[in-house]
Amino acid sequence: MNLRRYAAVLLTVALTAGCGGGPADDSGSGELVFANWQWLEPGRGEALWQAVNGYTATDPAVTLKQQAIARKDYESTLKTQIGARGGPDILIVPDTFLPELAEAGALEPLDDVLDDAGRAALNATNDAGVLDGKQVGYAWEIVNYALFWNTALLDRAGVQPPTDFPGLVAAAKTIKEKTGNPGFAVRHQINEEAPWWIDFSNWSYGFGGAWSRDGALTIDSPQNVAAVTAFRDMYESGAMAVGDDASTFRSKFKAGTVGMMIDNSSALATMVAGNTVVPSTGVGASPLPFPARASGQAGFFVGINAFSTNKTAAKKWLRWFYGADPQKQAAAALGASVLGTDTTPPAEFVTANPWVPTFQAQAALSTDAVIDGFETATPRIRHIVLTEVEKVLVDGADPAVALARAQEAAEKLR
Amino acid sequence: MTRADRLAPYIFASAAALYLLVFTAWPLLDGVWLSFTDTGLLNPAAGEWVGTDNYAALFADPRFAGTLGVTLLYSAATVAGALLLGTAGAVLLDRSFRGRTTLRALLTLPWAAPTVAVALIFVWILNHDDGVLNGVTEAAGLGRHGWLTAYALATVTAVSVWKVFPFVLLVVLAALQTVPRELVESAVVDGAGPATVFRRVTWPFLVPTLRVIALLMTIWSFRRFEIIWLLTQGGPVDRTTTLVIDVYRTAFLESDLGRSAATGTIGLLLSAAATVAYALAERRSTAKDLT
Repeated sequence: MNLRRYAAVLLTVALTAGCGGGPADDSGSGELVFANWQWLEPGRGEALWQAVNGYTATDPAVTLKQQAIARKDYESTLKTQIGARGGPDILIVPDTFLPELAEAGALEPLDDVLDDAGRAALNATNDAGVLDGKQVGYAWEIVNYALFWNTALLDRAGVQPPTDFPGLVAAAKTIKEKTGNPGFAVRHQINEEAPWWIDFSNWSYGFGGAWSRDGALTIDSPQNVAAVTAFRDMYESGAMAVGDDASTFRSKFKAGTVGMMIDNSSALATMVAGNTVVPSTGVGASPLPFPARASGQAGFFVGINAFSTNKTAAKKWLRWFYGADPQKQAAAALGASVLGTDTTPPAEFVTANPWVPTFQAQAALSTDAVIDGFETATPRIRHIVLTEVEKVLVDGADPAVALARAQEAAEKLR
Repeated sequence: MTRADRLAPYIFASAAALYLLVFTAWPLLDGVWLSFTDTGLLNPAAGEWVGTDNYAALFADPRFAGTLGVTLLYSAATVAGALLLGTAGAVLLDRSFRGRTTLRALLTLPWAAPTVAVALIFVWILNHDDGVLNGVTEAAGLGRHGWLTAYALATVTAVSVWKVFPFVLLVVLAALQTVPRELVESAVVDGAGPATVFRRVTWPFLVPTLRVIALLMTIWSFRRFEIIWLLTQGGPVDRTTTLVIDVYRTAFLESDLGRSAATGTIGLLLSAAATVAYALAERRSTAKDLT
C-alpha cells in the first residue's frame, strides 16, 4: 500500500474540483443564456427565438442559448438558480415575480442601457418595470384577457355568445347538454397557483373589485365577494371543465371539445396556430361578460440577471432588441400581445386572426395582478386568497366568510 | 503487521465516510442550522440567526397543525394499506397455482413503473369529465366524482398504496420462503386449519420482517413527494399537504428557506421517532424471546 500515492491522488482530486467554474470575463462577447417558458410553445417558440436570435447576425462574437423551463416551474427554478448566484444571463420575468427578484438585488438596473432613440420608442407599459426608481425590466409583452369561444360548437348547441354572467352560465349549460362537451373552462386549482392568480384577477376586476386600494388590502370587498360567488356558481354549474389544468383544457379547446374560455391572447394564439380543427377564423371573442369592463393582464418583462458574468453582452442584446426591426419581428411572433414599444403585429396576422382587436382593445382597461402596496407580499397573499377560494369551491364555504378570513390572514403578514 | 496494513481498513472506509459526511451529514446539519435563521431562497447569504422564531411561527400557525395531521393520517393509511395488501398478496402467491409466475410479474409492475408516469396516468384516469374511473362509475349509475377534489386525500393514499404495496409483497414473499415446511406440515397433520397454521406457524416468522418494512414504509411515507405533488400539489385547501409538500412550497414558492428548514427538521424528528419506536419494539420482542 503506497500511502503517499493515495494522498497525492486525493489532493489532486480536491485541487481539480476547486479549480473549475471561475468567473468568465465580462467582455461583451461569448454565450448568452436566455430563459423563457415560451421556447417550449410549438410554432410560436421557434418564431420568438428567431426574433431574439437575429442579434447574432449583427454581432457574431455573441451566441444565444435557450433555457426552456416549463411555465409552472419557471419561478421556482429561477429562484433556485439565482439563489445560488447562477442562472441565465437574460430572463423573461412575469410581473408578479418582478418585485421579489428586484428586492433581492437579482435584476441589473437597466436605466442607461437604451440609447435615446430606444428610450423614445418605449410606451407606458414599461413603467411597471420601474421599481424603487430603477428600471429593472423592459416590457416583453403584455397579454390581455377576453372571453372567446369555438363558433362551430356554439352553433351546434344553438347558443349565442353571452354578454353577461347569467348568460355565460346558461350558455355553458346548454353547450354541455347539447354537445356533451364542457361549456366553459378556466383555471381553478391551487396546483397552478401563480397563473391562476392572474386568471382569477379577471373575476375580481370584472366585478369592479381590486386587491388593494390606497395602501390597504380590499380582499373582502363586496365586489370581490360577488366575483367569488359568480366563480362558484360557474364551478357548480356542471358545465365547467372541473379538475382540468390549463394544459388539459387548452388541449381540449384545441381539439374542439370546449365551448368557451376566459384566457389570454397568448394562449389563444398558441391554440389556433396551425389548427385545422379549430382554426383561428372559427374563434369568436368579446370582452369579459362581467358588470365592469375591466380585466386582468399578464405582464412579462425582459431582465438581466445581476449575477450574470456576461452583463455587457446582455445589455448590448437588449439595446438591439428594442430597435425597430427586432420589435417588428417580435410583434409578428407574439401576435395579439402589446409590446414595450408601439409596434403592432402585421396586418395580415390581424386579418387571419379576427379575434385580435378584441384583446388589443382590452389593453386600456386591464390591470396586472400585482397587489399595489404589497408587491413583494403578493405571492403569500395570493396563496391565502386562493386557498380560501378553493374552500368556497370544494367545501361550500360562504364567499363572504372565506374572503374575510383571507383579509384577516393577509393583514397579519405586514 | 506493517503500519500500512494497520491503516488500510481506515483508508478504505475513509472514502465512504467522506461521502456520508459531505452528502448526508453536512446537508442535514446545515438544514437544522438553517431552521434557526431567516434565510431566503433568493439571497441565502443574508440569512441571520433568529433563534426559535421559525418553530414558534410554525406552531402558532393553524395550517401547520393540519399539515402534521395530514402527514400522520396519510402515512398511517399508506403503511397499513400497503402492509395489508402486500401481505395478503404474498400469502396468495405463496400457494401453488397455474399462472402464478405471470401474476407475480404483473403485481410487481406498479413498483417498477416510474412514479412520474404513474402519477400522470392517474391524473388522466381520475379526470372529472373524461377520466376512465368516472366513466365506469357513471355507467354503473354511481355518478361522477371529484376524486382529486372531494376525496383528494383518500385518492392520493390509494394511489400511493397501489404504487408501493408490491415492495411489501416481494419482501413478505421472500420471508414466507423461510417458514419451515415441516412445521406447517406437522401442524396440518395435527389438525390445524389454514387460519390456525397462518396465525400460529407462519405469522411469528413474518413479524420481524413486517416490523422492518413498517419502519421503512413509515419513513418513506413521511418523505413521499412526487405522487402527491403531481396529483394535487397539496390541494385542494391544503387537504393533501404533507410536511414535504409544505417544505417545498415554503422554500420554492414563498422563498422562505428558514421556515422550510424548520418544517423539514420536524419531519426528521418524526422519522427519528418512528425509528425509536421500532428499536423499542425490537428490544421488547428480543427480551420476550429470551424469557
